[in-house]
Amino acid sequence: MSNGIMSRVIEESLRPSIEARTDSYMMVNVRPGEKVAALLDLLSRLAGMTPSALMADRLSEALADYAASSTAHGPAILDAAETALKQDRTFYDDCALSLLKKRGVIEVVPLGLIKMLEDKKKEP
Amino acid sequence: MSHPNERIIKPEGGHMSEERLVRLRSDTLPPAPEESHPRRSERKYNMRIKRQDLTLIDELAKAASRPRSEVINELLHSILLKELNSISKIDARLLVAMTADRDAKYDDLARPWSFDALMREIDFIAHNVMDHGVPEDTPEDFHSEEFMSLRAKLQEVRR
Repeated sequence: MSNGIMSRVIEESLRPSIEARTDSYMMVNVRPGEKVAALLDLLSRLAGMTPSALMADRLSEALADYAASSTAHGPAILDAAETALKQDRTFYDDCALSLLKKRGVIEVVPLGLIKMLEDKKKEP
Repeated sequence: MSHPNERIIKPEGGHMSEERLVRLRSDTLPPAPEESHPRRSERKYNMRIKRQDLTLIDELAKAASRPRSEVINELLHSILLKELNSISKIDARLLVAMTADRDAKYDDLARPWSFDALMREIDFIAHNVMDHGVPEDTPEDFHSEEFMSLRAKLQEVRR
């Protein structure tokens, strides 16, 4: 009985993260140019992977490099960070925003938590 | 009935006597290249992209007034270029680049992968030519092990 309740509790507590994981990817239709398609096909065949699988992890790294390549990208990085944190409360592991945070390009300060702690300190 | 390689031309407002026949001697022209491959630019891929990455791509595209697809293509190109240049042996790197180029139909303005694969060497040759007036005198050499194994693998996947 208790096993059943506990397993349901665990299952329900895990649900948001499971949903977040499956929801964290999107399928996008891409039409690359002649040059990109030729090497993408060849490397996919050599690696025995689909083009999508081959590019999936590397894309975040390349995107982080691209975003960090110019100060002109600053407002776009901030806008994307705002959308991500509003929707998901956190940056997903190894996504470009998370990599930019690791590299120190963006900082996330837990302002609410700091204020709360300061208020607690002020309490008599 | 007019022949497909012939046109009868008369200047506007001109006299009958000014009428000319222009005949294209197609036998003097080289044959058109065979269209053996489908145009790659028409190929579509379903890419699995992290949602938050897509948000950043969209914001970067919006800021630069570029379509999302253009930014994604630029990212794919930079990943592939990095992968190509990670092959340390020049012959193996060039083999992969030339194999990809053979499968692509470039327009005259495109820069093939073979050129990208040789960028470091081209830079070296250019400096050599500027300094000494002649390209590097390369002695005959054997292919690297990387080249040999890649060639075998390529023959396998292209079969």
